[in-house]
Amino acid sequence: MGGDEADLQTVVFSIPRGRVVAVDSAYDVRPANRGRDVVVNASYCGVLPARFLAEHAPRAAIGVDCAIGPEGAGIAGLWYLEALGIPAAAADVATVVLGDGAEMYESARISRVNDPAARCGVEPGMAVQAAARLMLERDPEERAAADVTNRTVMHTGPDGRQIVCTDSIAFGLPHDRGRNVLCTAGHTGRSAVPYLRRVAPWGFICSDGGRGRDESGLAGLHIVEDEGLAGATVDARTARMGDGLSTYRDGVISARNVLAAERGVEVGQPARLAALALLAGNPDEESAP
Amino acid sequence: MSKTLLEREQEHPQTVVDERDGRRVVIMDSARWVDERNRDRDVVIPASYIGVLPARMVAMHRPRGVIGHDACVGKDGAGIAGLWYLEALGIPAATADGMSAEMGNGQDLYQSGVLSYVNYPAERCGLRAGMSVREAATILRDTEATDVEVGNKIRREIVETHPSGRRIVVTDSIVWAYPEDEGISVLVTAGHTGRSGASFLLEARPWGFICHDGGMSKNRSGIAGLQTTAEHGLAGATIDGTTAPIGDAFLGYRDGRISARNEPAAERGVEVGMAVAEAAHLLLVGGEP
Repeated sequence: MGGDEADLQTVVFSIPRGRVVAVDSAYDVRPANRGRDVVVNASYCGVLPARFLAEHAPRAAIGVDCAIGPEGAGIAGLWYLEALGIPAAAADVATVVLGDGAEMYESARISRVNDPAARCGVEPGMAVQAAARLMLERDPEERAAADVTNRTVMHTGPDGRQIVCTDSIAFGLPHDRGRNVLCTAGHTGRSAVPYLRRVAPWGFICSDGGRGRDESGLAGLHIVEDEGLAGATVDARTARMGDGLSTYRDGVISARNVLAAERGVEVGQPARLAALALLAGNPDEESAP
Repeated sequence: MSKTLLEREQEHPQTVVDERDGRRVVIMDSARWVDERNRDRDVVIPASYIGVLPARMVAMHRPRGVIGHDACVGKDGAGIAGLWYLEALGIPAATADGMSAEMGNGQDLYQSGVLSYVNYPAERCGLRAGMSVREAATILRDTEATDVEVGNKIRREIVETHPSGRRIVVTDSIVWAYPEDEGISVLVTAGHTGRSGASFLLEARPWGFICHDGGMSKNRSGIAGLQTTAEHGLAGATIDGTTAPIGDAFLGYRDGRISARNEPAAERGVEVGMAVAEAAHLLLVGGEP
């Protein structure tokens, strides 16, 4: 099935290097969009519409998150497109009339982005209009997988200690040792233990990985206690795995070890507050950073 | 710039548990330990979550197949988002249920894991949810992945037939309707039922339809098509977006519940809250003049 070619696409913005086209459905992407146009489509951002889009490999795409839904199916296509180097973002469904691409371009806001889109400067909360123009005007620079660490300093204490978000404990740096609180986003099972030991941060918050069988997703918390490492986990239902910023911003503490408890970390606390408690330490501890 | 722990890491412990014709099944505790030894020939079984971050680490070494852990799926489906990244690159991948295997324990994943989610190339190889990781690994070892090109993948199956010749067809998108579905098929699909969906439905004119509600969305635009189709006498209903993922009609048919229906569907007995399979049956048998 399909319709007539040109009339399904509304050009809403144009510069010499390409256009922003609004379409009602991802199926309305066309060969003419290849490598050139940003396709704003009022379909969900699942794998299925992503396959359609990828066949014509537009410069970038923006769809709808459809409330994200079970298994993240409403945004799963972002990861498909990321693998192909195509910047893609989803708009918050509550700001969108499904099936109306032009209206979406006018009034919707971004909720989720893939890494190439982030490298174009697109962020959650941004208007679709602004996001589409960034995607049209900028080229995401190539990055090796090991360079996508998203290391971000969130807070610096009076003694110079910092709260640092990074996507995996494996991205810890030598100067984190004994000094920084790391908010990372892998699970805290036994395979995380060698990394925690070698990075040996002042404090850490990782994911509980959904806990897993026999609470294996947080087994590392108690193993590293013996080495004096204070740490906690966030509930994987509250923060996205693989996204350290989400651990810090969205996470709710699901478990902590004794050393973290002594610094005032509690189950049910927002990760942001737990990170501050870890940073401050407790009065009885050695405090030189 | 100092190097991350990942970049300083030398050891990648892997255990070969099975081998045939040079193709191996290799277990390990972390996806970070997939490396060049695995390129093209090995089915790797790392006990990591299969988010986008581990998928990037794995994909650069292009193993033959990947089976990881779903970390109980978690927020935004981040525990399985890497399946879609790997799919785009043509790599068959699956996850084991988070409660069937320990996180960070490759041996346990291989011995006890039970599959929860598969991507399209893995499905084509014969992997299914509910299968043991061990069996799935053997299949991936022995089966060449097919249909791995980027682009449209049609999944379609007739699940029930009626003496009149009518049938229930499950297919992921309404755009895959065939001319022979007109007036004959109850199409159970998984795109939203907004205005763009409605235009496809009016073109396809099936005997009945069940599509997804797209999380309802702004102004209930995700089900706007129900009204439009009712005006043309088409009986239809929508799948509640909190009960089944958008984009997978097979899960919708198996797990979904009805969130809304139009008047012609109500006349055939379809009710809100009903199982999708039951509603599809009522649409199939009802509507005789």
